[in-house]
Amino acid sequence: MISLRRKALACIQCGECSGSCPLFIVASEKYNPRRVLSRLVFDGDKPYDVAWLCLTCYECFERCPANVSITELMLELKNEASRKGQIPSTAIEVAEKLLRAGKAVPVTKSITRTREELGLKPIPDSPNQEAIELLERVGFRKMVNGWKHEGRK
Amino acid sequence: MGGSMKEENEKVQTAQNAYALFLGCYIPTRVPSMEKSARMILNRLGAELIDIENASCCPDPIVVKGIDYRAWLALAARNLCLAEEMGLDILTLCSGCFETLKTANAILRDSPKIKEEVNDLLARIGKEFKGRVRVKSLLDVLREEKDAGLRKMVERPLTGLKVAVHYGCHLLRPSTILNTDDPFNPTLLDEIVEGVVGAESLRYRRKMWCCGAGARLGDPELSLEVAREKLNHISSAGAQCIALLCPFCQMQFDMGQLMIKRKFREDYGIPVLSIPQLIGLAMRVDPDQLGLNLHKVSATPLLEATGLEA
Repeated sequence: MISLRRKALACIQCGECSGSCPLFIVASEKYNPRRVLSRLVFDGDKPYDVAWLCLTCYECFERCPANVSITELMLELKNEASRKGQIPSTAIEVAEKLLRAGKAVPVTKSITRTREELGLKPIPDSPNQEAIELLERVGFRKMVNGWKHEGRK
Repeated sequence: MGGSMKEENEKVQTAQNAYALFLGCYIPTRVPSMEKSARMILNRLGAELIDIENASCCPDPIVVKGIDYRAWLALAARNLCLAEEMGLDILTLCSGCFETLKTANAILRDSPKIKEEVNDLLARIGKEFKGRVRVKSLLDVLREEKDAGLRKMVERPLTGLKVAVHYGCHLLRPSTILNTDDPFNPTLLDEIVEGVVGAESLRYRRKMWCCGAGARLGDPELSLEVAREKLNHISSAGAQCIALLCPFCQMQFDMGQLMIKRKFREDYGIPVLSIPQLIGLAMRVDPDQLGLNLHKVSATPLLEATGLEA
């Protein structure tokens, strides 16, 4: 496994990532990808909370002149944060829905009616057992249960 | 288009124009108007759509991939297997599903080691990833048809309509894998809006920006600020509607306008149409049949002003 710091080492701190980042442009004080990279490389720091803000728009990924895969780095930071239980409650809800049904969005009565009016087929809403089994096998349920035990909201 | 020879040879024998349709979670449950209008247009183009039975979440390339890469890859691989079993290329309507499935397909095809690991998992549910199908987006099909079938379907060009095209992210980037269009200066959607629909595709500032939906879980206010900045420029350019392909962008701009109105007292009132809905209008399809009545930002004033009600 190549460490996150090593993957960030090629960064030349030019700021192309931040300059092209919509979040940086609307709220530079909250989200600065160039700073995330310098924290990784120079401070040995893991800014998990900041990583959860990343839009995953791949704008910086496309533009980085040093070919640092910044978006992938943010995703890896989030993965690491999740394993340590540092995950927003909203993301926990998504994980729980996925684990329950194999789908991220539940079927409601009103959507069933709307689909009928549009002449669309009903959506099967039984849990997807194969998908759930795969989630068990990769340790996803164990991780989600671990969050609960830590007593997070 | 035409994939590499290798891809062509690997492909299982299929009827021309038949696809394994991957609907995903979000379009059927949150933006069914997109499903309805896309199905309508694809059917008119003579595409044969066979829904993938028992598909799971794709899963999305932002939240689930952010939580656990291995879970993301395993579920995506299973979905790819379902299409392989059908012997058909996958067609996705949602940009998120497109990015996930096309990326996962590339990862599994390129790395024998990862493929082996994932296949060990899949064996537990009696499946095996072989790498035999391609993943296409709705835009891939529209691109192939834009100078022929699509143009013939238009009965009423929407001449004079000012449209702000929004590309979104996951249709284009990461570009080396998705290979849809230029990631910085794409033209495909503009070509459809102008060449097929007959409307005017506006130049506007921040056109290539993300809609902001990706930050919704992490910081809803920040997410809304991104949409607001974009809407501000779309409005300044004089757009009468937004046209896009991704259901997350659709919700972000449609629902987002209500939230912006409440929070900042800014009322943009710009209807957010999917590209299939826009094409449908140019085909003279009844707006309700395209699900235009389901939008949060009403399209009625626009339809009345432009004489497109019926």
